[in-house]
Amino acid sequence: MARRRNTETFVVISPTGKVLLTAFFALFLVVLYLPTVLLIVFSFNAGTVAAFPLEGLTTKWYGLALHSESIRQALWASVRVATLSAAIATLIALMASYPLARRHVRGKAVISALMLVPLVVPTVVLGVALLILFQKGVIPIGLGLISVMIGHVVIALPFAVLILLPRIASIDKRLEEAAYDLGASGLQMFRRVMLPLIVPSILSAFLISFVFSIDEVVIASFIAGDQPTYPVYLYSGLKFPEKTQTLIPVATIMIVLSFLLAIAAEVIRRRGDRKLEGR
Amino acid sequence: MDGHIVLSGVTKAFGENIVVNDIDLNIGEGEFFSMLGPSGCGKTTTLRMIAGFEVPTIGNVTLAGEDVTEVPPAKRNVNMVFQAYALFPHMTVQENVEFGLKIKKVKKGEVKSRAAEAIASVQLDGFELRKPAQLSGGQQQRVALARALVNRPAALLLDEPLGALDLKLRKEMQHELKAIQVRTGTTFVYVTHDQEEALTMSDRIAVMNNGIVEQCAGPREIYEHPATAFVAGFIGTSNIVNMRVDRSEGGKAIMDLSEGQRIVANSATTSGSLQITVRPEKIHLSANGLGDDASSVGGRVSDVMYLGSMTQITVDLPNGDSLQVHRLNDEAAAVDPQAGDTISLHWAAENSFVIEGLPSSADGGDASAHAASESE
Repeated sequence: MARRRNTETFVVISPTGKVLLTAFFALFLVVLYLPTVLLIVFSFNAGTVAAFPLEGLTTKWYGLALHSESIRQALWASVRVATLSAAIATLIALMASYPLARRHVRGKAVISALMLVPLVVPTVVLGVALLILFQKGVIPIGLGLISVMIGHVVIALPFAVLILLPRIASIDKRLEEAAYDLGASGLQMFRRVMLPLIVPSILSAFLISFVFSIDEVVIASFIAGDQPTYPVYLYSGLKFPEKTQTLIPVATIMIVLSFLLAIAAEVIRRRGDRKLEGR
Repeated sequence: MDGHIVLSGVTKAFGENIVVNDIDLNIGEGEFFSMLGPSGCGKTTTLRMIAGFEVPTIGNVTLAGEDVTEVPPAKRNVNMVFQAYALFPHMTVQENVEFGLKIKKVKKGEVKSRAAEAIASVQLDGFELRKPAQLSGGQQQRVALARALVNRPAALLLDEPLGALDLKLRKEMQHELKAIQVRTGTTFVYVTHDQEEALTMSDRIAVMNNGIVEQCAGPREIYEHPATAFVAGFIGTSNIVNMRVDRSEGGKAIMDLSEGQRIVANSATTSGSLQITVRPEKIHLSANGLGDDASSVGGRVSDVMYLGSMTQITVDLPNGDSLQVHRLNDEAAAVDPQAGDTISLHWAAENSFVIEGLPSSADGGDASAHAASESE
């Protein structure tokens, strides 16, 4: 019998090469996830020092953390800021993306670039800028959660635009024309044709913006004033070694939460892609 | 109100680019009307002006006697079948078909019955709950038709609706479209670049090129009496012969060639030159059965192509023109000539069609030279 060729891949890799590549990939995963895994492990450590060997397993730190009034307040502050900022960022991104994807807008390239600028501005710079703006500047609303919320809208906006703009642009313009041709008004077209097709991307944009806000510490620490968000509370707590052990569960909760939300956003986005598939 | 759809003096320019240039069309009620031409000729833009997606720069569009030039698409009693169908991907066949009726707030019972009727009329019963992605190209095409027809439009506008289908399916759909059109009595305005499609289905065809209508007439008229060199060249295979008029005899212009050969055309012209077209299937290899006034020219065979049902023979004439001859491969057909053979060609005088009103330099049309950005 003739030998079957493996035609699956064009690039032929030697056995040694395969081993090396696998080892490299394993190392990559370890470097990427080991710190996170260690943190989760230590959150169940019975001892007060985050070092091996573990002195036994316990969930008491979680109990302590969840019963701490200040931690709960910070968590609640973060959830509120993240929800509101994600909603606003998504709404602005939607309103900006639609005309950018659909109409002939003068200076389209410049507007798109300007919306993406927060991606490349260091958050420290942005933090200082917002501090000046809110405390002494043109918008003297002072420091606090509303300021943090506005700051987070700024940093989340580029991501929301990057998710929504390509999706809207990928929807055949003739679908809109077909709706108008069948008698639909602008609003009816949007609600019945466009919206169902972009809802997954809207959700995805919201969740990504939410995740950005909920673990953002730099901007928040500049302008949160005396209302710390969860990451700010966590960061400031590190100055006190005796607090460390209660902070680890706090960090763990945040990591797991962000991780789940990011996965959810991606799953929703892909489901939306399938919806459009094959027209 | 002599016509259902009337375009008068319509010009459409995108910036400096004139895509449709002062055209007049009069499309009758219940007519299957095609706009045929190469890409960029303005046919899709014209259709979109009838649909309301484009507003003419100059001129007016009238539907059933009412000026709709600036009326938006949603408020016009016409529906469009889009290129690539533009079905709503998130809706089922049923929901797609019901869309227009629901928007118009038609009563629920009527929505159901009319949708069922439309789905049945395109033979999609049993597919109501499928999504467009679960249908073949031909089935999607039918959904698009049903979605438009269910609204009982005064006219159905079709933008190259069969372009995405393979040849066999396309032929089937041609018959079906024509049958639906006859059955419903709806005016069809059909845009295509496929001359065969236009010829087989249409009551009348407007052949367009560079934003103007070159000829508007029935299929037979267009094919057998092309008005311009462009129409002659675009519809079917056509031979264009440059003819010198040597004399006139009994209302026929004659060009004398050596050895008693000649080219004859029905024209009162007595001198100068003419351009004539001859369809390849009208040219015979023998003079049998042709009258005394038939054209008769000798030439050298340069190419012989076997095309199945017929053989295409290319013959170079002494004056530099070359003629294509179609010879049906029926049982009676003798052995085909070979390349290099010298043969003589004959055709009846009435098959020499004089192309009128053209500068003598016309050359069959430069379809692509002005290819404007028609739709995208």
